[in-house]
Amino acid sequence: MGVMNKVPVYVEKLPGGAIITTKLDDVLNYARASSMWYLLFGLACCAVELMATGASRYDFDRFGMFFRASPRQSDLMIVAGTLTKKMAPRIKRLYDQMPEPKYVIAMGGCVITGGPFRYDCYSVEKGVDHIIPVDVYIPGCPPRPESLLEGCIKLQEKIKKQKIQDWA
Amino acid sequence: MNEQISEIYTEEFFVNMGPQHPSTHGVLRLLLKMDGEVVLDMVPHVGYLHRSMEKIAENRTYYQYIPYTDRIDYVSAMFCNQAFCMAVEKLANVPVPERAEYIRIIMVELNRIASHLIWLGTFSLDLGAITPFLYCFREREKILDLFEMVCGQRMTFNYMRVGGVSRDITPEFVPMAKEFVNYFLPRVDEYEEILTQNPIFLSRTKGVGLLDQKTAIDYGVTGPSLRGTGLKWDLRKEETYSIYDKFKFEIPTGENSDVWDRYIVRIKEMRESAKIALQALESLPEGPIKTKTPAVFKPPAGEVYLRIEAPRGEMGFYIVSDGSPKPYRVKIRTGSFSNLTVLPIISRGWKIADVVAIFGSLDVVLPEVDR
Amino acid sequence: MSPEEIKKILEEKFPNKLKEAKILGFEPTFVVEKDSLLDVCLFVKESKELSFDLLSCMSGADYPDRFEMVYLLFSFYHKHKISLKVQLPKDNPQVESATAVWKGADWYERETAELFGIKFKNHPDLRPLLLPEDWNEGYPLRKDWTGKDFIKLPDIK
Repeated sequence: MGVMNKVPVYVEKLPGGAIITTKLDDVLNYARASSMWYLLFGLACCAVELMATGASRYDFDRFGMFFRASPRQSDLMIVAGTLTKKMAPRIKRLYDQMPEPKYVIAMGGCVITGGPFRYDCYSVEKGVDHIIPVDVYIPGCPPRPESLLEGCIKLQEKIKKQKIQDWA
Repeated sequence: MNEQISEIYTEEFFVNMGPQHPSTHGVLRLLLKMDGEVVLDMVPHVGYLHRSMEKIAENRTYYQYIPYTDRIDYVSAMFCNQAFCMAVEKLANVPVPERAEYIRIIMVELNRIASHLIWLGTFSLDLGAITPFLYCFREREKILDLFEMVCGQRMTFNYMRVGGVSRDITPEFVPMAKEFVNYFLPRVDEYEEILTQNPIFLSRTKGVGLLDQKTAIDYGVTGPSLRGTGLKWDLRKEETYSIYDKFKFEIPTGENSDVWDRYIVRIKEMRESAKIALQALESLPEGPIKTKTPAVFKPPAGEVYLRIEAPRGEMGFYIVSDGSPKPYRVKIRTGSFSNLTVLPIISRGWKIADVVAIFGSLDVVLPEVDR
Repeated sequence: MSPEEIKKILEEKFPNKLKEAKILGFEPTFVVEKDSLLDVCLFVKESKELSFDLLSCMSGADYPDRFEMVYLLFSFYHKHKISLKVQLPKDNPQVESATAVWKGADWYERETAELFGIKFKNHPDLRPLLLPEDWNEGYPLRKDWTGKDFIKLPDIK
């Protein structure tokens, strides 16, 4: 993204140049938000609700979201299910393998603060934001498919507010 | 030329089917020792979803533990609820009214159909057929509508209580459930039309992954995988817990104990479950739905072990009580734990694409293995 | 076969080595001495009248003065049940592995060994099964265990 770094700085110095960067912002954000490909990463119960959201009744494909099996080809990771201490290094490795720009949705009570497994549990990592940065949190145990769709729409709104200058 | 060919040097190598993989249903790591494409040996590594259910049980009361039993096997949560509640009822000698027993049977058999539908959808997705996945989830959504009407939740129900069930069924439930069962029986024929005699499906599953009866019993395999080897064994007929002796149903078995036989056993079980649910819906009696139990529930000191027939095998609860409101020790025996131990034995000598088919036919969910 | 007949056969073969106990749902229950456990297991599996071929469940338990191992067995041929218990001392719990008799005991023993600390002699491969590979905080399922990330449920008054 080295070229994109310098473009807004020079273009804005031209007369009327700010309009070009705003329009470029809009186009890029619209393209990114309308076609998020998510990594199939279901760990536990919330994974079944994720599959049900992608299936016949509540469809993910109408939002442009489609599952990919490999982290190198995806730009969204929906962490669904309980995260244990044994699995934590692997999730960090998968997050590092995803190319920029990347986003993370934390789905379900267990990945927000541990959920029902916060007390008296010796092997659960109590929250995924100890390990990777999270953009949207969706509470519920498990959250309904409508909640997951609302979370994805909120993520799309967040993406549409991004500016080119923020991207390093 | 011949000397050049004889100098080609081959060796075995290790491949890691890691915890994140689209075909392992859940977080399972398989370490495969391969020679080309043929699997020589395999070591499964589990424990990526170990949530210490047994330690949690020592610090919760009996009533507070029922939501945790849902999460042991979330695909068939009513079975886990039923097993725990029946074990505690046996320990404390609490009777269950008849209407509650009928409601429990209806819910449990509908859940068996839902669990087998998820298995069928993901199994055919692994083998490359995407259409049955969408059909199965369409049927499953109708079952989840029925569950939501009764207890408000789609997947982790927390519906059964010690001594009965928590809420009565509404008047709209019975006609809607009967309509669903009559709608569902021709659908199973539709799935069979796509898959059962399909030449690609047959060549991927007939004769693959043979499991003989003696190995299966020695390793503790139970459920449809054991019925696929030809042994006609079902706890609902042999030990007739609850009121299963009032219903007529068959027990399907397989002949050659390969992947295709285990598939056929589960398809037939879906039909039998639909028939049991219809018989129960037609003869539902009136009455109370729960016997009164004290608010601070203290069963007498003792030990109990009770097992039921869950969709993946036997599910059993071993509870030790010392007379206090919290259990002293709870041990959960699940079908997938024993079924997974037999996977390295039956996949030696097959190619890596067959390993996916064999693993799918054993129907393993990882939270049952790790608890 | 009824529980009394099973009890008679076992007491004939192993006199003075069995005591009675009770597990509801899987009667009869016998408490076996530690050193004769493997002989009892081989006998109940291979004798024609008993032939217990399915190991339905195996579990450990931690009491204030002892450890216990419970074996719950079932026979497909005769359709009867039995359960065996072994009592082990607190300071050095060791018992013979049952993998020589039922291969399904393999993973149950690995799990009990890493969660309770009971050692099984002659087990082919006693690696930890469920805990992370670099776990060094002790045996979690013992009653007197605490760890650094372990939050106990607070009592609500």
